[in-house]
Amino acid sequence: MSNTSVVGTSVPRIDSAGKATGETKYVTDISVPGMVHGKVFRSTEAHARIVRLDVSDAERLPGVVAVVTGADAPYSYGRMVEDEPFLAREVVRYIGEPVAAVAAVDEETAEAALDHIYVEYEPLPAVFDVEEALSPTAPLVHPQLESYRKGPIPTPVPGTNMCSSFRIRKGDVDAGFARSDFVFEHRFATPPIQHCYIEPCCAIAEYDCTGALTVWSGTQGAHLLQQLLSASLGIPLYKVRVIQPPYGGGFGGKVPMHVEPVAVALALKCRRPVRVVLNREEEFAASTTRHASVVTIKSGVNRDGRIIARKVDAVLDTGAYARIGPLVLRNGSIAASGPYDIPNVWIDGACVYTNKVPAGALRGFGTPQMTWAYESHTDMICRELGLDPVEFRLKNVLRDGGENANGEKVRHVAVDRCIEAAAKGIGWGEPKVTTSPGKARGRGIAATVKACAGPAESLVVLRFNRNGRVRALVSASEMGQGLHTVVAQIVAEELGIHVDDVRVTQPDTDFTPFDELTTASKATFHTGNATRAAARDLRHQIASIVAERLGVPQETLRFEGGRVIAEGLGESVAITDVLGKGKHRATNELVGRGMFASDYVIPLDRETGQSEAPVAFWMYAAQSAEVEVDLETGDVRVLRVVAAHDVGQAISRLGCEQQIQGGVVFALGQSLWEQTIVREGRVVNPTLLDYKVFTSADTPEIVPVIVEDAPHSLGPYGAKGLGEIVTTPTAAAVANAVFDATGVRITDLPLTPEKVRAALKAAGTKTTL
Amino acid sequence: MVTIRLRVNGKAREVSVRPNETLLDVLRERLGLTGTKKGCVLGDCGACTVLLDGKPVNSCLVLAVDAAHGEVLTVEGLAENGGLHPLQEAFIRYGAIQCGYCSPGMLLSLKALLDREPYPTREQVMSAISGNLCRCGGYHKIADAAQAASSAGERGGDDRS
Ligand code: FES
Ligand code: FES
Repeated sequence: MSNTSVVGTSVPRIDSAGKATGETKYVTDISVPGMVHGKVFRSTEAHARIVRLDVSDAERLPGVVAVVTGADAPYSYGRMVEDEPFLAREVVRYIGEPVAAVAAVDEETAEAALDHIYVEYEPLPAVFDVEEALSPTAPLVHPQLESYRKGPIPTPVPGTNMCSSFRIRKGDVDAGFARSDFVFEHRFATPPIQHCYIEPCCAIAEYDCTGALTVWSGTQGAHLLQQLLSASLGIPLYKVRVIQPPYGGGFGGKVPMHVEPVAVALALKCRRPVRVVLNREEEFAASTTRHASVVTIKSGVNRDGRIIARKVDAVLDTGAYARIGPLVLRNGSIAASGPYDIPNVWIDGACVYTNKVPAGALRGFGTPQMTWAYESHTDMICRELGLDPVEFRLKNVLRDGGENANGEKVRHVAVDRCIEAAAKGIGWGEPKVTTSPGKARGRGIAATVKACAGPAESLVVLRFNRNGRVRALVSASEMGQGLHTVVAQIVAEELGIHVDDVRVTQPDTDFTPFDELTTASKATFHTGNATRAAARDLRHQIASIVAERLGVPQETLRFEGGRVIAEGLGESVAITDVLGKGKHRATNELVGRGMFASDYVIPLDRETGQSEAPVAFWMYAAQSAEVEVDLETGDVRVLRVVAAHDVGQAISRLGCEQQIQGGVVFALGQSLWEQTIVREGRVVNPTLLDYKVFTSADTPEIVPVIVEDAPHSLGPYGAKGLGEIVTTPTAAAVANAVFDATGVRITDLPLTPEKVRAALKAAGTKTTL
Repeated sequence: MVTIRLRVNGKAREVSVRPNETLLDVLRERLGLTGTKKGCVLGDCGACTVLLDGKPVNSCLVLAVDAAHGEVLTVEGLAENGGLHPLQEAFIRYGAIQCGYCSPGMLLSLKALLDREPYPTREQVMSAISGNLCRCGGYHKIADAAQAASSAGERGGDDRS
């Protein structure tokens, strides 16, 4: 543990008072003078040509201010592949795609006007299944794929539905299988799921008379949104301003952009500020899902319990548009062989277009799907060979100096300690409590690794005023994960002041410095480092003023308890008295600047996926679960989860606990029942009631274990990240526990009672035969 | 439009509303009380929970005209005598808040619980908030806060045990 006084403690979150009193103005609470309300007219076809689109009746309705179609806003967007129109032009590619939009004096009028828009479609053949989409005769979602602008990551293949691919080639996997005593192969699947942040997506767009655009959005990346809008609209960056008010949860679903284009198109036409808020049904049926996945995994294992070779074939369904899919594919596939030291690895990943709601980032960036596969697979190997799942993992797991699938010699790894803590916490190996007849208990464990890919760059500006207080200008996004408190703690730590003396400003691209977006659990590491650098810059400036005043060398000054103390001299200056006095120096404000870039990342070799420094940093964890299965109904009740996370160094202990407990509940829902059910391209369960997320009544005991044995040499005070990896191992731990209890194995999520019951029945039939 | 009278956070209010307007919209749009949140408008998330005559209701499911002559308490009215309500204090202290979008609804569901059951068990707390979805947190810190707040009144402290 580092020698700190604020970092590593539990402090109340600095954003909680405003949230507890209802004072905090969230993005959906904001209104701008003159604002009108937008509603979206959406496609009812999965794939069709728009033959006729008539909005003239809607335009004539009283209270309607403007109606737009693709012809009014002929722009496209996409960070990876610029394949998505603001509003459909000529063709629709999924049910729910925006075709037109209405702005009216209130939401009710806008909504009613949608009934007066007429469209005629000529259906085109559609494709809904990834494997079908890859066949040579499949209908093409994007016949014009070749003509799109694209970034450096995706590798679309024109003339196919392949949006992007990814590969790792390490050692000789076939020779590895040939040498192995046993070879196992299994196939796993996960459905599309929803973020279900409680505050829906919302954006307000406004143009001024110079053509400058201001957008208020609950976005995870104010600067990225600014860049994307500037690129799509062909206007310079300085003419786009993005303001990000507080918002109610993101989980990757508010990574730019999908609601903003409609607001911008309407604002462009009606020259008034326009607000668009999605309703809950639109959130389910027409925003962003997590990629459904099909993962086949094959391992060669030796009699001594060592994994010799592993081959993974992962296919992600990205839906009708790429969105951030190619990045999800890369960041998920990069660790698809798990936190294990395996000499021969072959990974093939594909991200495939279909005529469904686009998929994007969802708390884990592909890693939950991969972990579900390799940790279920690992358990199956152990059960087949009669090996202890904990011992088997400990035998193969990555340790300091070991080599991962990228050929990188890894450092600061404590996943072994996580596995041990998770096993101990759940009572691994202890006799199981007997339960009521008709029920069975079991325990399961799963380990995981997740990349924070990088390279990324974060800038922070700190303004130190004459009262000795600090205003932090930060563009990384506080979406509930606790970033603002982390920033305040770091500033307080470096300047010896109280956390309450630090305020953090909401992102506004006109004022807060660059930080592209907040995803992949990168902010504590990147923005935290930038904050520390800025605070040290400030400290240096303060020290030079105090040193001059007291006539001592700067190096002898210590910052503590709100004072700058001259060691040995017995004198000190209150931090509140530093400014306001000097003649030749700043008397009102000091500005500290800090930057951090994970520019040490060496891009992966395109053919082999090898690199000495493939990512900004890795995160590791292990979780264990104890479940009780009703053998009659197939109902799985999770009794207890122990979640051990290698965080490097906790900045806020309370924040880590929040993230761990919250993440586990998030993932338990996904383990047991969450799924967006899509039939012929149509989402059939688009309400929170039908979709069902975990409630307090479903929540078991969750024991967070914060492992700080392996601080990261480049992280602030040794910290890594946490938010996403919490959700990645839970499902496999639960499924492994279900197997332990019942002997039945479910390989496609979620573990619904119907599925478990059917499997129990099938197993029962087999044993009686 | 219909004119209705009701009391909101202890103050008499008179508002003109459309007959189909919900209490949630009246609070947020007409009275500017945006502390009450809108998450689904279908009664599924609990973000819009307020107390109507002391009982927790999903204000998105209550027609404003049906709340006429009622007594409404929203998160803005929780703080008493210039200080935060013990539940608010405990929410802050025990880390019950992350994005905070569910917090106003949680607070009111728990206020209703503590009003009728000053010393609730863990199960009672968990069941009182079972209609309030939180997507960020694990519910336990909310329950810790509620239990701390329930004992705070008596012992004048906030010991969790
Ligand atoms: S907004 Fe009322 S229950 Fe969701
Ligand atoms: S704190 Fe975000 S939904 Fe509860």
